[in-house]
Amino acid sequence: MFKERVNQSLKDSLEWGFVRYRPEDGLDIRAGRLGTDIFMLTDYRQVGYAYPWVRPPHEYYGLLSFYHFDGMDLTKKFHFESADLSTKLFYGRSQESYPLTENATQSYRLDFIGGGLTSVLDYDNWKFRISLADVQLTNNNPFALIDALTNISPVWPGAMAVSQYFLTKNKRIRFSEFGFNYDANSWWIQGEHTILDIDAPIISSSDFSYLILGARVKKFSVFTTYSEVKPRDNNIHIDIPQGLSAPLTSQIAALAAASEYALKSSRANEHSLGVGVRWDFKPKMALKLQIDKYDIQAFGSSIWLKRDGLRGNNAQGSLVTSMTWDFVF
Amino acid sequence: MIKLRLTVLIAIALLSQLAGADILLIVNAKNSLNQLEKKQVVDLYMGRVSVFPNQQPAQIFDMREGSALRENFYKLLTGKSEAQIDAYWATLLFAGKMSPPKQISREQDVIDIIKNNPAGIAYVRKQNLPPGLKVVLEITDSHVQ
Repeated sequence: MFKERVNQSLKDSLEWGFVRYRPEDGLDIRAGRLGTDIFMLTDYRQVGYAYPWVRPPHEYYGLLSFYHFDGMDLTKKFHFESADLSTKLFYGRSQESYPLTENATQSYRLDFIGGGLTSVLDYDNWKFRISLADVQLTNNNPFALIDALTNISPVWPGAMAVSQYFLTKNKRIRFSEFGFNYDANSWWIQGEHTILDIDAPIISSSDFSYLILGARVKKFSVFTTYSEVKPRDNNIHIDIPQGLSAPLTSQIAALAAASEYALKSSRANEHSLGVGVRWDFKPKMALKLQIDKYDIQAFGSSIWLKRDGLRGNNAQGSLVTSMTWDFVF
Repeated sequence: MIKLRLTVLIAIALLSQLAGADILLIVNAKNSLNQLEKKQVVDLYMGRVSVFPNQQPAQIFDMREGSALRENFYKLLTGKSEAQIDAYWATLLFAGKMSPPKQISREQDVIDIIKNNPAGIAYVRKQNLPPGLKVVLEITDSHVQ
């Protein structure tokens, strides 16, 4: 399976490619490039036909990327009288680039190594899942600010600590996800919540969640979705040293302000409300229409690509109408 | 008189065809299984297991999408529409977790396949079956919750 990526090489565009070994029924061992199973839609977020929306909730799935990793996983299924439990352990490494500009001339790369555990319980009409992962980042991205802060550190020793905010190497990310689905066929509800906890302020620790409520009538299903992302930590305030000469103080103040600004604008803080309808007009074909209203807080637009530079940090809203035709074969 | 009896017989036959909501789950007569529970059939057809409860490998056969029998089978078995079932398989297929059951166009072909395949399982409308087959579950409308 392939997908268009920032770098169009085979290495980056290959979404999944793995070998599976099933020594016995209910036990799967896979190795290769695997989907990162830390969300409900991991296995099918690229397969429009498999989910109700035109696209998965933006606030939840927009930033929480981590599409795949190279490594292995082990899944064991347990069958009970009326319930099924599936538990997966995974471990591996990944390199992924995120575009920073519309035409992908600049990108931000995150390399990590780590693993986690996912458990899914199916009971009657219910599905519950919990997922925990702990990964360590293994690269830094160049920032002009890091050099500027390092250069000024002889006169402003605190600058070294500030430059650390922009570094990601050896920092840890902890994911905790909980999801549920209740499907009575005529109506259904699904929700997920993720806490992303990270030691590097340049990638803000955040809460991600969404809830979708849907109903099915013959070949139609209608749904409404609420989804949001909120930073967990307050904005970082950088203190300026006192008692230095005026030109130096103003230079440091400018650098501190630029650092605060960069950290502030790396955050995602928005919510959206959507309504949509899906029409399964033929076997394996669906037409979908969806309208989403996004409310983005000031300095909260980091999951959008900004065309208008600094103005992109104002609070803003957006109404998006989408229509898709999905099919599988 | 004979003519009338024949007409009545044909009418009964047609009626039973029309009222044919009942579905039989069939396996090869050589299969050591005698009975399956509804949950076990759901597990097989939803790809949760790939073996029969006696741990023998199972080869699962489905009807071609868009057929009334298929729509009816999944409705009675799971309460789900065909579109829901296909969307469900789309969630599994691309992750390489499980492959959906092989689809067969004609009911008669399914019967022939199961007759010759000791590992096979399939569903057909309630009918008189030829020798070499075994019914392991009968699903009727009363099963609908």
